[in-house]
Amino acid sequence: MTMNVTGYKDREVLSKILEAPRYACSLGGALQCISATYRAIAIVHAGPGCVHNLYLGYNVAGGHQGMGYAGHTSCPASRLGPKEVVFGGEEKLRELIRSSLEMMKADFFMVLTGCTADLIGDDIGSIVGEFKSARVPVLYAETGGFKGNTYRGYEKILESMVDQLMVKPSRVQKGLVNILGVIPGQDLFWRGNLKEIQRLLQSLGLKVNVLFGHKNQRYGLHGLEAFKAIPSAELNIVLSPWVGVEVAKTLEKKFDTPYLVFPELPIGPSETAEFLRQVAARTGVPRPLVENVIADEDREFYYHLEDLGDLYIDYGMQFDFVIIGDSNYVTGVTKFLTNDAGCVPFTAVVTDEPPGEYRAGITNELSALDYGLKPDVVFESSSGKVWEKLKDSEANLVLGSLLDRPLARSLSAAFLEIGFPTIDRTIIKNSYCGYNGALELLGDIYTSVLQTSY
Amino acid sequence: MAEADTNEEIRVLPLDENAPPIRERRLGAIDAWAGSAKQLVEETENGSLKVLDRVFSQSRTCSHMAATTGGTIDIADTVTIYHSAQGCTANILHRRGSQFWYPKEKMDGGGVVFTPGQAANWYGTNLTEEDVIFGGENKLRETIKMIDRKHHPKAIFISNSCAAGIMGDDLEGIINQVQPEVDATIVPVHCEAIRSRFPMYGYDAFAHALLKYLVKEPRKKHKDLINLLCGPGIEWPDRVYLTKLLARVGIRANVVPRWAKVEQIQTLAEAALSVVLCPTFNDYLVRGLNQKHGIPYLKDMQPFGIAKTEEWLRKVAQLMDKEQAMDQVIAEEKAAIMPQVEALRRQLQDLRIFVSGGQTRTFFLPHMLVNDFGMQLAGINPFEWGDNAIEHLADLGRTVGNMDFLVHIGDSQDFEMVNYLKKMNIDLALLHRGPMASMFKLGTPTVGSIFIEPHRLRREKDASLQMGFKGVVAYGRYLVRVVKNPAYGRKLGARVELPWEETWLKANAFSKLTENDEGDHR
Repeated sequence: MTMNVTGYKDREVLSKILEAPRYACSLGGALQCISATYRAIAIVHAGPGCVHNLYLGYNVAGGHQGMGYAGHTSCPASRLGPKEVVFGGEEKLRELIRSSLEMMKADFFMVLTGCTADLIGDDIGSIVGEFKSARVPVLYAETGGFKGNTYRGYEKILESMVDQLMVKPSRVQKGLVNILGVIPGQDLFWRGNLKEIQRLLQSLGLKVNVLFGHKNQRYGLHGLEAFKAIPSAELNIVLSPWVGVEVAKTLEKKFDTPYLVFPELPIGPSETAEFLRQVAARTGVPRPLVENVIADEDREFYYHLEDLGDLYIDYGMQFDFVIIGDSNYVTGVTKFLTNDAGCVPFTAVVTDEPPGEYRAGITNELSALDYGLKPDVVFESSSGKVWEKLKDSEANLVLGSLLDRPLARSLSAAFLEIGFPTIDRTIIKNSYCGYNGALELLGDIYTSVLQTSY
Repeated sequence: MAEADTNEEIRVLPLDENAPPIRERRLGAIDAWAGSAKQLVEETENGSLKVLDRVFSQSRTCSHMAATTGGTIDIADTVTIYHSAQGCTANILHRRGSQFWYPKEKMDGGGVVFTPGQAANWYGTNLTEEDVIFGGENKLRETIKMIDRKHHPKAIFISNSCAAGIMGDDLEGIINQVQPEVDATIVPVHCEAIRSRFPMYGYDAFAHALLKYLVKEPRKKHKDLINLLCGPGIEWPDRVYLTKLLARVGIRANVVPRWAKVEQIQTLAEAALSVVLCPTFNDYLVRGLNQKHGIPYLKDMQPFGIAKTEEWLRKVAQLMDKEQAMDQVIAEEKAAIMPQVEALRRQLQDLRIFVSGGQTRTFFLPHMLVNDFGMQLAGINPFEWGDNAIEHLADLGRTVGNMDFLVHIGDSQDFEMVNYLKKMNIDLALLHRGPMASMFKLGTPTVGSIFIEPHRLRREKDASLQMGFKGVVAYGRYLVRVVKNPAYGRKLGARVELPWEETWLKANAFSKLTENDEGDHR
């Protein structure tokens, strides 16, 4: 056998191997985005099983999200096999696009590639270019799995939209804001979370473009129209310390749209108020209006918290908690549970692989909690290492994914699934952000504790 | 009537090669065809059956998933390495739920290795652009060593992905080099989906790897022991129930590969007979065991429905010399369920049904539906067709009473199925994930042709789910529940927009089938 020259030393090799990680590949992230877009259809130029595989991952193990408008086995797929590996798959793709346009109803199609297509070197751009005059837009993104993870897939979709769909508007639409950084499916609660964000910002008089979700007449923007409207927004709001930040920078460069990075999902009265104030300041919403909204929401929230207080005291719901998940959840939930709900943060495990330059910022956010409380912050996406780190934890509440249930059981801790993958609960329009979502989160934690009996 | 076909002329399997032959060649398999059952058998027998392609197609599973989610992952004391980009491991996540639903303490292997410390039982080499250029071999080598040190598994499976296959990593070379340094048996599985257009090829690659690397020469032969071979579509309660029935006449069963420990794989050659519960999955394994170790097998009968269960039990008993004792068991079991089956029949008879799924579901399940419940079979959709299935289809024709029903070969091609099923006036569709949801959205009463996970413990705890005598009752009840109240689907169907153009739904469902460029005949 020939010894292979490789790019890594042994130690580096092991750091890149993943034991049961909590995300998929860029095709996975991209497919989730298209499945979640109103009347959009992905045409997948990939191996035979990629769509089905990722469906079972994201849509079944994503709290049973379902196949959507044309996901899973409805999704056109070229199923590259032995023949195409030798002769190329371009003709097959051309035929597939042609017949998809003829047979399927969509406002736009997006060709996505998998490993095989990218490795055999099919020229996707020029084939898609042949469909310039088709009745609806045909776009493409190269999302071969080896090119990156789910988060990269989300960015690739938006980058493709920027390059292939968006044009600089003649004028900015006053009061329109876009929401970035929320990946459908990877964020199990994307439907409910986006709705809550929309509700809150609308109460400030803003028009909120959340990009994803079904047609909703009350809000106006959906599907293709929503993506086309991105450049005319007054502000891009990123709800993650890093996912979507690069996209926001590109949008600023290309369309002069300023952006606001709120480094977490705003959860609970303190952070949501802070979020609303920051957005208001950047969009010229009058101070009295935003303070009124906050006061109303706060009153409502504490009406419920007052009644929950009996339980909190009676049952000792002041948990020492461990949280394992994407950075925007870890930060948002930790701040809420610590600063508002009177729990003690033990360990915060960030599993979404933020690029190096964002990590100090995330650690800082997690270290600036009230009463000097401060969790251990760990960046690790390989589940085995996460569990190793936590195996002697004295925490009595674990917030994580399906994969962490055995850990919680071994610690005799209460447990709630808040992230991907999750299979033993359904997530419909539940939300864990804003004011309403914070109540739901707290209620779910308490319910889980009350029902825990190992 | 099928025999334990040790004497049947079988193609010689290249068990010493790295990978098995693809199904296209080994079984003359096809995945695109439509017509009557009669026509299919005729064309297959007279050699006129053509290999067709589709100009439009949709995703189903692939051989990498079949070999891992359907194979390696369910063997208890092992770890699977996905030599792949990150996305290939996503599929396994949907099966983790079942870890919590299974009665772990009852399972032979104590469930799949999955506790903190012992951790999950799968890793990904997470191939990146850098690896595509430099090769992923070093990464793989280090992963094997680390897993051996950390988990001490009995075996480490390496499942090869499309990307790794195209990159051309030398699996056997790596294994030869690393095996002396690790305790676990390293088992490469050449299941990359670019090898074959048949996902079920992955089962062959898995079986090939078991035969080549794990199955040992027998220390002794056990006259009372059979291998009971399960696939991913066979559920725990069925397995428990069938083994109990066999035990009553003194037949012991080594149930593999699902839920087994490595030791159970290693001793496969010690049994007197292999009995297959899922011929698609286990075709290669039983042929290989026969070829290498002379173990006869029973593959062409499945215990679905009263008559076929009876036939199956008698045949197994006959081959194991326990025929008389089995008569008693059959009589008792049958008497116990007959009143319930009669009641179910009154509620289900004359309903027009369509069955889609793997070969097990499509060729064998209808025996129950037609014989025991008096339902009318309008058609079937097996995922693949090959020489190995001719007798199965002919036997189904005898049960139905004709060979005029539709056979559509295709693995969950939604666009074809929605089109023709909409026109066929089906009362109840028994489908697989994917088309199941599409038909449901059309308002047609639809059920999974395989029992879905939560049902298996929560509702039918002590019964079988589909197989054997009790399986008839459990499955019948499931169908009755669905037929009794179609409210959800009907109301949904009135509101949902499907992604298909009207022109397509009116077109010939099979108009996207085209002749293969090379004009291949089988």
